[in-house]
Amino acid sequence: MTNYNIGSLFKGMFRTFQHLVGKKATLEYPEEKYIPRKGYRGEHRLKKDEQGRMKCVACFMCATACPAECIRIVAGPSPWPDRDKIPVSFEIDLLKCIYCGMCEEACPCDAIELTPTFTQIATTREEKIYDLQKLMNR
Amino acid sequence: MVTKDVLYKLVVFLATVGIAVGLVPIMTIVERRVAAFIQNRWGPNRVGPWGLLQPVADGIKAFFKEEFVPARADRLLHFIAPMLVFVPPAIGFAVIPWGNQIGSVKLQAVNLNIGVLFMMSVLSIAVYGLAIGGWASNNKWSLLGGLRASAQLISYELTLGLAILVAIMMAESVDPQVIVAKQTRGILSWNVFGGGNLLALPCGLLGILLLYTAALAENNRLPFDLPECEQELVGGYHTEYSSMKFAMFFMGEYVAMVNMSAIVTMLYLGGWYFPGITNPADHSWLGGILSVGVFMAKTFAILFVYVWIRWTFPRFKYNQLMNLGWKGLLPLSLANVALLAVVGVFTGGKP
Amino acid sequence: MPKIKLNGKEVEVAPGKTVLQACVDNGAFVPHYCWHPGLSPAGNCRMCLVKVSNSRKLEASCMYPCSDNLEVTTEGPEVAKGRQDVLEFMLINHPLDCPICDKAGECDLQDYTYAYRGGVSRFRDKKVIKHTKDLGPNVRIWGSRCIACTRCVRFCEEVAGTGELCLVNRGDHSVVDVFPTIPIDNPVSLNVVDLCPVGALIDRNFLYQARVWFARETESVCASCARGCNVKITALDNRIKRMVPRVNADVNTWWMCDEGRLNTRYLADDRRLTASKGSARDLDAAARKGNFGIVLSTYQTIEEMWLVKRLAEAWKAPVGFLTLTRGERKKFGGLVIEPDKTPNRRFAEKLFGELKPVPAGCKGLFVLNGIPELEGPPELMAAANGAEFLAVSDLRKGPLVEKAQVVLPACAWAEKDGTFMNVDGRVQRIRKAIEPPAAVRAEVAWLQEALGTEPLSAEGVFLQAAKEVPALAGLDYGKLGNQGAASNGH
Repeated sequence: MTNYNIGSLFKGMFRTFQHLVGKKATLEYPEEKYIPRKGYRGEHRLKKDEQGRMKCVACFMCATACPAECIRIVAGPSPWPDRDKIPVSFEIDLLKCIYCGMCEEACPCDAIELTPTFTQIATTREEKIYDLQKLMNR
Repeated sequence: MVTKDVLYKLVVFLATVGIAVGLVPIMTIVERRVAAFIQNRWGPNRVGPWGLLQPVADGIKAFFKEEFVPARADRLLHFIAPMLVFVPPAIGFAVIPWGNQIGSVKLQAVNLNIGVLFMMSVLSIAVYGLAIGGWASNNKWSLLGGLRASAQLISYELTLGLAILVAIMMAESVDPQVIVAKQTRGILSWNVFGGGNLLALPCGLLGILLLYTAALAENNRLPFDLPECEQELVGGYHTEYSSMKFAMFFMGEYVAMVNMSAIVTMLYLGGWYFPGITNPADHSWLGGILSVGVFMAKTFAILFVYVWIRWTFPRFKYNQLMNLGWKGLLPLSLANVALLAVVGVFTGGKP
Repeated sequence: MPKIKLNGKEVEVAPGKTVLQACVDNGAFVPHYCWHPGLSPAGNCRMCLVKVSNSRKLEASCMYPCSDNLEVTTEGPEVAKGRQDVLEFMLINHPLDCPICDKAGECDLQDYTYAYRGGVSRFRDKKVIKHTKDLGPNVRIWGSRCIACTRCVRFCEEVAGTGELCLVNRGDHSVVDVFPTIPIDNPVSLNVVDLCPVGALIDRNFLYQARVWFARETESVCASCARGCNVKITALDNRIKRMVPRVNADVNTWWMCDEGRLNTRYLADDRRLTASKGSARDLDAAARKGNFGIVLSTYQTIEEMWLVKRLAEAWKAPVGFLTLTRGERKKFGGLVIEPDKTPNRRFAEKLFGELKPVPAGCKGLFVLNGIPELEGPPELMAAANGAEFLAVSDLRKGPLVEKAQVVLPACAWAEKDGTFMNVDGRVQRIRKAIEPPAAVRAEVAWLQEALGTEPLSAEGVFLQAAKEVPALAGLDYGKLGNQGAASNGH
């Protein structure tokens, strides 16, 4: 014989009623903006030093750490005397990126950073491959 | 003043139909908003103030969608089925006493002395719509949905009838006017509380519980919505329906819901009577409108419970549904009728 | 024959051998920087410290001779502590620039530091900064990274015989340098880069080209001369980034010449021939009309030469040869740079006998030229001008290709599988390190198409050839392995 547990039915009804009158979790997006918490992992940028030069020294540590293999760097000699190596090209495929933040973790120069930006749209795949200029000027 | 009476009747009749159809869009938005609230969301709140115009938008959308009939479907039956679902519950409204009388006019479209029986018979027709719609779609999922619907309705119709019988026994009448009138002697005279006989109180409580459970099943509402359960049957009997035909199925479900709520209100919850608000002897305009308001409030409370239950309980399995119907509810309702009869005998032949 | 006890195990050692050599020969790992099997021991890095029973302190095993009943311990807390201390001294002035050092990933200092030290420095003063400059056309030095092991200095003296490099300054300022106005520019200068256990000496051609852990390494053979030095090809993104020698005592010992290393540019330049015209079947149809000649370069693999021989028999065509000889035989230690600049001449001689010149007066001509720097020598151009039908397979665009009715672009040696027979008759495998350009098919494939036989892989063709060519009897790719095998008669 099936066990008809009427009491738990009412318990369930009470629980849903609590939700009925409770606080809503919905964020009504265009009017309310989501403000990412501190440390949110959004799209990348490359930092600059005090003289406005790129901090990156093209050590490939981010590319090595990247589990999605979305970072592509071509290195070259540096024009400045205080370092040997700079990236000639630095591309991040944000469609491949999983926003894990390993690149930021791996960077010995504190040059790459994940910003709270997450709403950049693109209409082609190429637009989502950010190059050195785009990453620097963010 | 025959003409004046006819005119009044016409007004009441039109108002009844208006209510029947007008409640549907309100119920759809209520349903969606309540569902959202229970799930900690806001629900549709973009169309009109607080999303109140959402049903209009839905209606326009349904109206402009493509009307699609599958190849090798039975076109005639495919066309008729949605109407068979929508019209009978709408007809059922005819005998619902919406309120006390204003002057000499009773707020009931048709004053039928076998009103309850009429309603039961009319409501049973709706299942033909589901079965025919399922069959005519030429789709196995639809057919299974239709079959499930008919099997389920047959199973729960018994319980429904026996639960209605309890109220009839308490009122000793099948005339809606009489049933309501007998419940206007104070809150304890409501059939849910035994119809004035405290010994019959358990019968009344059990009766409304059984009636409501059977009503959920009759209306294919969760947790008994097996005829249209998506995981197994795509969309059930209305899989192959689109545009306004689908809307008819949809509205039919809601009209039946409203109808059923009105029946529960009428049979068990004292109809338009509420102590301190409505007075049976008050035949003024104000009293009449107040009585309609009370009836509607009660109906909406029942409807709200429909929605509340829908978003609380998961769906039954088919065997569980049949088990509950035949092994649980049917014996229980028979016992309820017997108990009420015994109570009636011991309390002087009158419950 | 002295017998020593190495980590409790009794082993016999050839007389005159040092403890480190005994350890290496018997599989006991001893870290070392300055010691190299191809160079004289210097004993200055102190990394190879081991515990020996004759001494109370740890001894540098590379300078310690084996004597009878010597007990040597290469592991244990005492030895590890000694190595840790040596490493700590070395790292005092070594900069922390592994992230931008091209040696990172294959650096002995990195590996041993990882193995023996916790990665914490107690040094609190300023590090000594030394010069960074170009020592020669191919070699650049980061002096600060130098640990003064003098491997490079000894190589220039003992193997190259030129002695350009020396250690200048004293104490912690000592660093490798060249004499003013005399850059390091000998034919084997890039070996100092391989020898450098740290990232102090860097190949300027490989500078910033790749992080080695991203690159793919393929064991192959250099095709730039008849010596057939064993190499490892480092490729990234389908480009050859560098070649480094592999050890093969029978061919090149530890070294390799600069010319061979750097002879990879032609693979990806804009003169590379990539488009084909006609097909191998067209070639076959034309050749069967008679009076046909074949010109074969000695750059082709054993498999290709054998297929061409079968074609020549089928077409009854005479076979002439293109060869390339330049310079003279040079010897650097165990490495010999041959004047014959093609890798497979010895096999051509075995297969065809004496190499005949380009056949003249043929109506049709099929030229199979795999020599990257050879473009239509006069006798070939004359023969081609005289022919009505010309089919060419070449690496690069040129006058000959423009004339040809059928063009079948060639695969470079790094883009295909095959075998070469070096000047000593040693058969060695080449392996595909990078993909050829999109439209380019391996010669083995279309030569078999011309023959109309079942298409086999290079390995299958080699097995067929081994059955019929006496010089290859009994050989297969498995036997060749990665060190090659001597052919019959050698």
